[in-house]
Amino acid sequence: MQDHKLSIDIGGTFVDIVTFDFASQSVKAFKLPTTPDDPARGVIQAIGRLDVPATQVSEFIHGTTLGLNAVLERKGTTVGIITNEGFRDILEIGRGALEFADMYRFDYPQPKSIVERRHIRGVAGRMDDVGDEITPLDEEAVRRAAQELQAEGCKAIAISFLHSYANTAHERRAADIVREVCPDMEVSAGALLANEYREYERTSTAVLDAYIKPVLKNYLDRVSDGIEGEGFDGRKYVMNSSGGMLTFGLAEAQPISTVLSGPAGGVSGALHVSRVTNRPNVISVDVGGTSLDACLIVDHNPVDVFEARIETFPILQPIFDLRTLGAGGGSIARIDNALLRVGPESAGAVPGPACYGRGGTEPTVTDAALILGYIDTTNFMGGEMAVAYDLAAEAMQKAICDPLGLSLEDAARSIFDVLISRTASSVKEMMLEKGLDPRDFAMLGFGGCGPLLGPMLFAELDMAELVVPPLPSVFSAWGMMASDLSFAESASVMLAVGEGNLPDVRTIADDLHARSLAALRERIGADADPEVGFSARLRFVGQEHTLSVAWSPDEDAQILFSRFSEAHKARFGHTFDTEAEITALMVKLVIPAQKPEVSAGLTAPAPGAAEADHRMFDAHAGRMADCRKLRRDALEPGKTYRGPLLITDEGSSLGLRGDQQARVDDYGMISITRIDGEGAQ
Amino acid sequence: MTVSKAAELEIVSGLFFSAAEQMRRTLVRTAFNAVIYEVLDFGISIADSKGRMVAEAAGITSFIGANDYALKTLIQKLDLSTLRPGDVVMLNYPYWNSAHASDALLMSPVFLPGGDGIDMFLCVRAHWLDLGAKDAGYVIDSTDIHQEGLIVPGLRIIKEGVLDQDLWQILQYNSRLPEAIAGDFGAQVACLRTGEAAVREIFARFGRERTFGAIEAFFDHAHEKTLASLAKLPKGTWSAEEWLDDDGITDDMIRMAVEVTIGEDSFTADYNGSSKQVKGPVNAPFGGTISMAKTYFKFLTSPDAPSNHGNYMPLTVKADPGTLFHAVYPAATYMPWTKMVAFELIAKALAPAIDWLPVSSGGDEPGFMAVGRHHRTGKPFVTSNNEGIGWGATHRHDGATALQHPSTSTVRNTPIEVLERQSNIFHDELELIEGSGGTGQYRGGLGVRRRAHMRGEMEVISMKKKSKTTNWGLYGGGSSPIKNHMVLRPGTAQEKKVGMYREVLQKGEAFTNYSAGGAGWGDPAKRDSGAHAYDLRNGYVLPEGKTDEKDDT
Repeated sequence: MQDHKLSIDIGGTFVDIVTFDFASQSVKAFKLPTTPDDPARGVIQAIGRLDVPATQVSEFIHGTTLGLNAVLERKGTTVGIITNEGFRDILEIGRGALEFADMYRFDYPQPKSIVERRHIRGVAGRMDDVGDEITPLDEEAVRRAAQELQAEGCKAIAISFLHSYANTAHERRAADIVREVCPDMEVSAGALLANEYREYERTSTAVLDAYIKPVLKNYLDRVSDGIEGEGFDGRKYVMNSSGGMLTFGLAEAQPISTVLSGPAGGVSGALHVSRVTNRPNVISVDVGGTSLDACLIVDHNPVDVFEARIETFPILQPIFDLRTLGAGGGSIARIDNALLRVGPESAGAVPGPACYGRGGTEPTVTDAALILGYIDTTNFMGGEMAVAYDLAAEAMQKAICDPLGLSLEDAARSIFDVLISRTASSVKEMMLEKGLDPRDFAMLGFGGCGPLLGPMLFAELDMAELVVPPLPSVFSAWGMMASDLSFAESASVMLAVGEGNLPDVRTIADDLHARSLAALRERIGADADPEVGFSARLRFVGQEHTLSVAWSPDEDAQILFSRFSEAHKARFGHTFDTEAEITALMVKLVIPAQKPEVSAGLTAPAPGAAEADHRMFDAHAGRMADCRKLRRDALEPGKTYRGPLLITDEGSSLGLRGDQQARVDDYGMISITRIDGEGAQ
Repeated sequence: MTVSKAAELEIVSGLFFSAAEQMRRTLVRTAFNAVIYEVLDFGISIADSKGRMVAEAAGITSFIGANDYALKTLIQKLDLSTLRPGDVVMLNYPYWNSAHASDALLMSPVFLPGGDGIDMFLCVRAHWLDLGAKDAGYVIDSTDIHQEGLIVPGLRIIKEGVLDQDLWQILQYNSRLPEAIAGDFGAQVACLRTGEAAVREIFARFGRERTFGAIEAFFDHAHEKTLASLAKLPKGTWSAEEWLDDDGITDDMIRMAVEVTIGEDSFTADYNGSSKQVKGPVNAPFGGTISMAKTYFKFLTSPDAPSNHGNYMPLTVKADPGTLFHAVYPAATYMPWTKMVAFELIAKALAPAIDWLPVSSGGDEPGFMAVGRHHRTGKPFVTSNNEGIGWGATHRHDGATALQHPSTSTVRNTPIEVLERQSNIFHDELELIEGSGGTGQYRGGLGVRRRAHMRGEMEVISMKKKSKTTNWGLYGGGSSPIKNHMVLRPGTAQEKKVGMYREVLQKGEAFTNYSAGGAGWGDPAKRDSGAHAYDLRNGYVLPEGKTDEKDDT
């Protein structure tokens, strides 16, 4: 009987595996080391290690950073571009700006273009900004270009024409021609991926999509064959970057929508927790070995953006607004003249923190945590890994204690002081950018180091509550189970908001709906009957940036304008009564999935004693203190536990300060709050 | 509370930088005009009571330290004892304020508990769309300051938290766009208030003594780091000259020169060999000259770290009043192009002695503006584009292709699709100019060519001040064969090559805009053969004897 759901998330060090049993409503999780030489093998091995036969799994959801890594490591395929004659260098010219981090590098070493210039062909054919055809497409030139590019070794072609957002006809026709003359060629067309204005950003999206397409396709084919060989016969999904699931077929057709699929699982889980446990404003804080990634959920809705970046490449895709705010557990502490710095250099997984004993000699955040007793040495990473206090102490002594004349504990707590102050500043800045205040949010801390930093960080930010979910170190994989199958498409509009234009906007909406429904049904079956939601992207005339607001085609223009105006006021602190325009409509088709209950049943038994004595630094008292160490599954729901206290889980530990208390709520979440009357120190 | 001084220093300095960053996010979030939130034409800083900069958040690259000179001048000119908590002072007088009259600086003093006067200053400058200059948009041919906008010479526009309605009405009635400046003023005030709250929080947490102590220590730290970088540079005196096309009034080229002296613990940039101030609007206020020099000095000594007063202690900038780089009343100062063309003068002086410096970029910001009525809607439009140029090669790699000028490295160009939607421009080509990088062991980056025709009558303002002279390579590297310029009505009897120029084009008429490549570094004969083959294959360079673009000058 197929009564299990499975999710597998591949991270930098571990493959996280979570299974959910519909019948018993229970969740199980385990970790395996990654297999970087052949990531598919890690997935197939995981299926073999399940404690239920693969035949009993009805749904498999996969989070993979394969597409992202292919870009970062330049391991994608050879891509050619077909574009307008006279405009071959759109990709290389870009927007001409450096990132803030490089702004004073007047010797900036520009990376080579990801597409060789000789593989770019211009063909005659031109639309204008309202989609009128100025010059017809030279179909013969497209044919010739495709054949030449194939002969020159291109395996994928990105097609990108000026103003294709306003009229996709030339791009559609060119794509058909390429497929006709080169049946094995992968094709990605700009406006069909992102029906949005701005030619460089659209071209970049199409190029990256083409670049990773064969890589992702091969990988998913390997995974499919492998897990089917293990007896799996259920439905297969990949996470996209905005918290939805795609079938393998949809992911292969549009791999660019999966590039940030790993961290999206965590936000998806945070969203589910926010809705089910009735916490409207949540900041999800996912801390791994190398970075801390944060995303805001405001009034039960995640903050999305429509443009993200991989290195300097923009991609126009709906995506969670995830911000990397710096340091994770591997961040290295160093003395720089008179200052104690933490990061940005990271020891990563290899050599890793000094205490891993893999050759790391510089003290890291993890080493500082070990010295302060924030890590349960008897059960580090669920017992998968040993840590050596001596190595951490030796590294700390040499790099920090000796030069500064500090004790081990004072050096270690200073590292946390620096790290937490800076991270808190970044969180404040991220919120201020949207006119929000941290004190109106609960923090959800997960990832291997989320429970470690959470108690310090939420205290520094004066937030009311820290929530640590069950299985925090595999929460991203769990979060994938809380996703729905979702398929989004957009259409360019470029019309002023007003009753006069409304019939045209409605026609665009109807076309978009019909087109996306057909595409979805083609991929997953004719009986698909999704929920439909529209949103519109608007701006005041003269602005470049847009805001997205929900809108249904049966609502009038006045409703749309006032909704936009309110959103503008909330986001920017002011609004105008001037003309607004709709740049794009987006439709999202959602087929809800059966999700795991958020409940105490989630707790996984961890190894080690249920309760023991422990010694740990209490930041409230400012000294090392004797305290208890409790295994998470030994906590009684509803009962309040006071700090200082170390709570251990499979793969992570949570150290409460003396002015903090913890309680397991009805949903199995550990809720940490400040003890009344104990002011933050 | 921290147990380690090293940690406390890092924390307190980090909190001041965060305060400046919070000011930046508030300004960008709430500003009304796109020049602030898209072009990032602003500068934000926090200073101590002596005007020494503690932390800043620059928008445009060369706005580093732009508020320092203005603040020091205000400290001299104002009777500080008359300032009260909640006051905001406004300044746009170019000779005191580092930049043209469209840049409005707002300053607020911070009075902290336990003090007996002003303890800190907060400043934010931002480009306002209109303060009643002779032309809307941009001024390229003014001959004195009074043609460039209403002047506010450091007046209290907010008094103890209350807006001065008299002054406000003067501003409102002297602007063509009163709503926009009201919006931006509000955003700047919100920015100052955000900064004040953050600064108060730091002092509340660490107390006066420890916070001021940390600030001093952080100045010392930055100073020592800068001295350490300086110690690695050669000692001596070097000089260089450069030419600005003209002043917009006559056709005469204008000489710009620097003499750089590096000592054990000092770095002096002396611009006194330059021209006297001229009639047209290309004169640089001294504060702007200092910022220009600071920006290049920062690249030389501390490109990665955020900077404070300590970083610039070794730097002295000289230019006598009445010269091109120290304009005095009533000199016209509207055009910042002088500071762009002169930006790499320090490099030009030092590059023969410091082999790791990049050689010359395309040397200018060769963009354009378009003004007219839309061919489809009839509505008025004003739009602009900053064009990318090639950057200079270094001793390790080729120069970057098609980036903005180094002094505006964070500014983005305007997409074709935006220009064509907002204006009457229709593009026929936008491509790299093949072979436009200077030759060398490492070649210069490439410039771009933009060909367009008009779909309706439209005024185009070509904006360039280095269209007559070429740029410089070194150690055998060549200059770009292309100069920055625009050709109006190419291929017709009315064809005209221009630098800084405004002209109305009729429907169907065309322009071509050219940007220069970067210069090359080292002997071309030593170029790696694989790199050369790659360039040939991809058309970055052309086979011997072939040219993509006939240089017509």
